[in-house]
Amino acid sequence: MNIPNSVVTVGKINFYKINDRIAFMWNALMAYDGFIIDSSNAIFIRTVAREIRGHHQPEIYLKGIFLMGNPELTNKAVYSLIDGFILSEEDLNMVASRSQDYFLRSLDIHPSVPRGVYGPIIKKAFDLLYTRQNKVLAPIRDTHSIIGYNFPELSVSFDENEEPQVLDALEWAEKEGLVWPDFQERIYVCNSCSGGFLSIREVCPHCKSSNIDGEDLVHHFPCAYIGPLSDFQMEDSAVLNCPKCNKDLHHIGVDYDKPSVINHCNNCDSIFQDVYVKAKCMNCESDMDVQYLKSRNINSYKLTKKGRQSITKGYSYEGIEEQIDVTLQSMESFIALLRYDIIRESRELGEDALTGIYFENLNEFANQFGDFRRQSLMREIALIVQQRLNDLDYICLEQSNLLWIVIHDVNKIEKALENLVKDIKELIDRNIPTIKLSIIFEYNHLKAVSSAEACMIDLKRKMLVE
Amino acid sequence: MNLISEFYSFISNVGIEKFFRYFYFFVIFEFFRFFIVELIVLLYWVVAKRARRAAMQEAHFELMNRRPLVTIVIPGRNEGKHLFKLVESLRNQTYTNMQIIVVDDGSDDETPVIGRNLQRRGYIDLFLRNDVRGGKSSAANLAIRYARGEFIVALDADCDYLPDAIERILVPFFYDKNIGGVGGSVQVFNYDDSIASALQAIEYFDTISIGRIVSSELGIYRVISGAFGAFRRDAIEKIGGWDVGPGMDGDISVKLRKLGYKVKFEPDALCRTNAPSTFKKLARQRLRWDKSLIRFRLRKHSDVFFPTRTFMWINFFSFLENITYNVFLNFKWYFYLGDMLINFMSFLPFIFITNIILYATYNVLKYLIFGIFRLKKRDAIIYLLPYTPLMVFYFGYFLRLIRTRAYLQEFFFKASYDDNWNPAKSSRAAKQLGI
Repeated sequence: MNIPNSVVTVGKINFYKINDRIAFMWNALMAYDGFIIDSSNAIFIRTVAREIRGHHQPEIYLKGIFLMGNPELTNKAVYSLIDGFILSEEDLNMVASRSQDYFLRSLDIHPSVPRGVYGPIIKKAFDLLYTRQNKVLAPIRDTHSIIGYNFPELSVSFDENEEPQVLDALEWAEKEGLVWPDFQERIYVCNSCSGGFLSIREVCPHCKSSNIDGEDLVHHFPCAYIGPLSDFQMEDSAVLNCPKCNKDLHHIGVDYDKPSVINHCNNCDSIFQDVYVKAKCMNCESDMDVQYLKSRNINSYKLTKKGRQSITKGYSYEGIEEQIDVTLQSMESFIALLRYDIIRESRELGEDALTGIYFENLNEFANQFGDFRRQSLMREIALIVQQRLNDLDYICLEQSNLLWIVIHDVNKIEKALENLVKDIKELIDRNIPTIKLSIIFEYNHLKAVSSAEACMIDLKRKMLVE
Repeated sequence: MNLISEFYSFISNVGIEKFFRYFYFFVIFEFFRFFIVELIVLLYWVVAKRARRAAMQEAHFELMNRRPLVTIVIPGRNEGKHLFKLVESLRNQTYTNMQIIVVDDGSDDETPVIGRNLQRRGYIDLFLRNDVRGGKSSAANLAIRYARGEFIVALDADCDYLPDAIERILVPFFYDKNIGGVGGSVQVFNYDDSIASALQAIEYFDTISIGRIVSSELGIYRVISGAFGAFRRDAIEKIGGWDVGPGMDGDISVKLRKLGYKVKFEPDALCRTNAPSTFKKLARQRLRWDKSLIRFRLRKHSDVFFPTRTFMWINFFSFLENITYNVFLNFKWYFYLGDMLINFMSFLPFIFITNIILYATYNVLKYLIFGIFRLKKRDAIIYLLPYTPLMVFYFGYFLRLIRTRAYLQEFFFKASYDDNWNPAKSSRAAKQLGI
C-alpha cells in the first residue's frame, strides 16, 4: 500500500498528520483511524479541531484528535475537542489503543437519529460522549459565545450567535432523561435574542435614562431641615452649613445624619429615590427590566442510562413537539367551524357572533419582557376568555395579538365583551402595572355574515381603523 | 329624701348675689367667654360671610381659572395601611392639579412597599423614604424641598377628606393675598367607636371647630391643624418649614403670623380623622398637645409679648387669650375649688351638683344652638346629643387634670423633649438650642 507522507502508522492504526490545511480532503480522511495536528498555530489548531468535530460524518467526527508538541492553546474549548497530547510520533503507541477503542465503541452506535430540529446535532454530541467513556459535556466560559458560555462538542455545530440553541437542545435532552445535569452557573439572558452580554444600569424610573446623579440626604437635627448634601455645601468652605438655620454641621450622628439618598435625572429633571435597574443587551440593544430577564441554567451533563441505551438501541421517543395550547383552535379548524356556524345560523335564528379582540400594543410588551412571556400572557388571556365561554364556543389566536372568538347564544354581547375586556385589563394591571394594554374589540352577528373570511376581514378593518 | 329637700332649699334661697359668688367661675369664665362671646362672634361671622360672598366667589373663580399646582404633603411613620384609602380620597377631589408627595419617616412596617407600589401605579407623584427616623417635621420638610406646587397642603395619612376639601381650603388664598396659611376643619370620623371618641367628636365640633371660626373671625386663630392645613409655598419656604415637634402645627402657624402673614380657618374644607378610641390613648395625645402649648407659647415664641422687631398687637392678644384661657384659668379653677372648700364647705355637695347641672345644661344648649352654624356632615348631631351632658366630666375634670399635669411637667421638667413622638436625637438637639 502506498502510504502518503502525512500518514503515520502504528501497528494497524493509521493516523493522519495535519500540518497543512490545504491538504484537507475530507472523504479521504475517513479512511484513517485518528488525527494528529502538528502545528503551533493556536488558531489553526482550533479551526481544524472544530472542523473535524463539526463534520457531519461520524467517520470523521468520532475519530481521535491528538496534538503533537506542546502548543500554547489560547482557547480552552480546544481541550474539549481533542483527545490528548503527544510529544512526538514515538508517543503514538500510547494513544493508538485509545483510537482503537473509539472505533470499537462507535460500532455499538445505533444509526437512528432523535426527531426534532436538534436531533442530528444531539446525536453527534452524544455519540462522541459515548465513544469517550465518562466524558462530561462541560461548559466553558467564552467571550466569543453570545451567552458567554460554550459547550465545545455541541457548539461546533452552531454559529457563535446560535449558542442559545445549544442550551435549548440540552434542555430538551435533559427533559427526555438522556442526560443528567450538574449545576454550574445561572445566567440571565436577553428576552429578545437570548444574548448573555447585558449591561446592567441604574436608570430614571420616568424617562429610563441612565444619566442620573445620586446624593445623600442630610437631616439637621436642631431645626429639622432635610435636603440633599449640596444644599449644605458652601463654595468657599468644606464645612457643611444648614441653609435653614445657618448653623454649621459638626458631627454626624450628633447634630446631623444621612437618612437616605436622593437621585436626580439630568435628562428629564425628575427626582426619585428608587432607581430602576435595566439591562441593555449588548447584542441586540433591547433594554429590559432586570426582574423580567430570562434565566438559564448552565450545567455540565453526563449521559444517563437511558441516554446510553438510546445511543446503542435507538431513540424511542417522539422528539420535540411544539407546545400547543389545547384551548386554542388552529386557524384552519377555526375557519372551518365558523363556516359551519354561518350556514347553521342562516337556517336558524340564533344569537351567535364572531368577535375579534385586538391587543394593539402587545409588541411593546414583547420588547420589554420577551416573546416567551408574551406567549405566556396570551395563554393567560386565552384562559380568562375560555372560562367565560360556553362549551360550544371556540377561540383562535392570530399572530399573537388578535383573538378570534365565536360566541353562541349570547345576550347583550356588548356588555359581555366589555366585562371580558375589563377582566383582561385587570389581569394586566395587577401583574404588570407598567404596561397599559390597549384592547379593541368588534363583533358581527353571524346571521348577518356571508362568509367566514369576509367577516374576519371586515372585523379586522374595523379594529384597525378604530 | 333629706338631701333632695336640702338641695331644693339651697337652690331656692341662693339669690342672684350668692349664685354669682358660688358659680362665678362658670358665669364669667365659661358661660360668658365660650357662649356669649362666641355666639356674638358667630352671628357676626354669618353676616360677614354673607358680605364676603361675592368676593369669595370671585376668589373661587380665580382659583379654578388659574388652577395652580398644589403639592399635597403626607408625612408619616407606619402609615402605609392608610395610604391607599387616602389616595383614593385624593383621587376623588374636585381639584385635580395636584402633586402628591408621601414621605415615609423610617417606617418599620410595610409602608415602603405600599408607597413604592402607589408611586409605580401613578397614584402618587413621589414617594420618599428616610431609612432612619427623623421625626414628622423633617419628613414634612423633605417633601417641601421637592414640592413644585404654588401651594402646599399638609395632610395626615389616617384622615379622610371630603371631595371638595382641597378646593375649599385653597379659596381663601385668592380672597386675601396676605393669607399665608389656612386650616381646614377636622371632624371625628369614628365618633361611634366608644364614649371617648363620641366625647371628642363633640369637642371637635364645639370647642375646636366653632372655636376656630370665632378666633379666625377675630384674627387670633393660631393653630392650623396638622391633619389638614394649606400654606403658600413661598411663605412656608420663608419660615424654613416645620421645626422640631411636638406641637409643630401650632408652631408653624405662629411663625407665619410673626412674619406678618394672616392665618385663617376654613370651616367648609372638611376632613375627618380617627380620634383615639380609649381614654388612655387620648390622655397620651393630650399630654403631648398641652405640653407644646407651654413650650412654644411661653418659651419659644415668648417674644410675642415683648416689643421686638416682629411685635404685632394682634399676635400679642392672640397669645394672651390663649395663655389666659388655657393656662391661667386652668390653675384658677383650683383656686376656685379651694375658695369653695374653705368658705362654703357645708354647701360643697350642693355647689358641686349645681355646677354639674349648670355645665350639662350649658353643654346641651350650646351643642344645639351652635349646631345651627354647623355647615356639613350633620348626620352625627342626633347620635351625639345624649353624650353632651357628659362633657362636663370630660372638659371639667378629665381634660383639666391632663392639662394640669402637662403644664407642670413642661414648666418644671421640659418633658416635651422626652416625648418619644419625636426621635431623641432631634429632641436633644432642639433642647440644647432651647427651641
